[in-house]
Amino acid sequence: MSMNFQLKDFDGPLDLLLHLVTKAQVNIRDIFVSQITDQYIAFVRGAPDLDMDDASEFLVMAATLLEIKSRALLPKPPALEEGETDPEEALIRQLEEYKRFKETATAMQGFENAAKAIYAKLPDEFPLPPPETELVGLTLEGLIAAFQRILARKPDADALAEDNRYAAREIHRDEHSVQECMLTLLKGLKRQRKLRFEEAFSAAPTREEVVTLFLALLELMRLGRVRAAQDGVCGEIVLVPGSGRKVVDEDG
Amino acid sequence: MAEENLTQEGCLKGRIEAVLYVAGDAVRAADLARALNVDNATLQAALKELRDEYDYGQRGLMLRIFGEHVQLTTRPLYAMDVVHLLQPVQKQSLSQAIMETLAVIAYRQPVTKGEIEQVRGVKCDYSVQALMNKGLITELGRKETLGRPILYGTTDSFLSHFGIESLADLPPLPEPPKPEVEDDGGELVP
Repeated sequence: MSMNFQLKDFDGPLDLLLHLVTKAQVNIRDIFVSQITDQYIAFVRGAPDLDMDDASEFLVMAATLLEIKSRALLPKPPALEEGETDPEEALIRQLEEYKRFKETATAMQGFENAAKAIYAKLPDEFPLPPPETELVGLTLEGLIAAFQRILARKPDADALAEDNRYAAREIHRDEHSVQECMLTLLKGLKRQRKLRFEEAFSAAPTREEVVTLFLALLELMRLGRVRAAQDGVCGEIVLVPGSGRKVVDEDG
Repeated sequence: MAEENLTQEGCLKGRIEAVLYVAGDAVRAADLARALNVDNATLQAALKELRDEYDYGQRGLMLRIFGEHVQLTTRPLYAMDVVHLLQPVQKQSLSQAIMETLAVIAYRQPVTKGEIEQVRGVKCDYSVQALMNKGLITELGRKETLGRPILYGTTDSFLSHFGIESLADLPPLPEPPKPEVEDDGGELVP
């Protein structure tokens, strides 16, 4: 028998078996009384490109076929146990099932080809609408101006150190964390419902406190826990509780 | 103005046409109904009427309704004319292995990868992934069985790819051959 095809031409053992069945023009139900199984085993054995990655499924099928053949050699097939399926019958059924889908896949190819004659226009491109902002009556300049007013309140000692930058300095450990400042702001807001931006800071805050508290404020605004409103360009900024979900752990 | 259009069928069809022309891609009918401020039944009636008008005149455009989507496309009848002038990129066909996998999913959905592999007798990871990437199939959930495997099903893109309106338009699966008499041992006599 000539075999002018390769293992990799087939989508698995069922595909190969079905090919052999079709070529020999036998009924699927008769494969065990035909030469098909021998052809299959001979073909897999002789395959030069036997790569375990691709061929393992073909080998499993070969083993199954050998098992079925060996059963048939016994004078009387052993009785099947309860619930055990006959491997011969199971394989035939699997092959029939596979054939149904293989034929359908061919039919679907016809539909696919027909649908290729349909063309659609590419969608027109439009720029996205500008993102909505939650801040009301607030300008970045106003926020920066307020920030600078707070900075202006910082103690003079810091300014002196700034001038004398090569002198020995102490490095303090961080006394404020963003998390902590967020809680302070939220507590203040809970008490008063309304908080003037400048009230949030202590009388003479250090630079670190100002920066940390400011970061905490921005974070709260981002989370929607706090909303900031301003009357005019240089007006006072007032903080009110926002509607955002609870994110900060109160006892954290 | 919108209130006026609600009662004017002719206008609604025009509005649908305008939106679908600009959209190009398939549009979900629900999104279209919301945008045009009409209820679904009114929209569906107008869509069918518009489709029939295109069909009746063998117009160059046609309205495709598939699954929950609608799209304005060219009519296949005029494909050669489009090709002659514009040479559009040929759409890729699915390979045999991928098509078989897709067939199993289409007829057996919701189906797990294991069940597909059972039918095909080979691993299907690559095919399933390729179909996911093409948007032809989607995850439908998980099967409540050992390992909770993912269940796959086809999408509206699948319907579009094969030019059909619903899964019912698929070619019928060949009948399973009649099983021969299985149990020659007979049943237990009570």
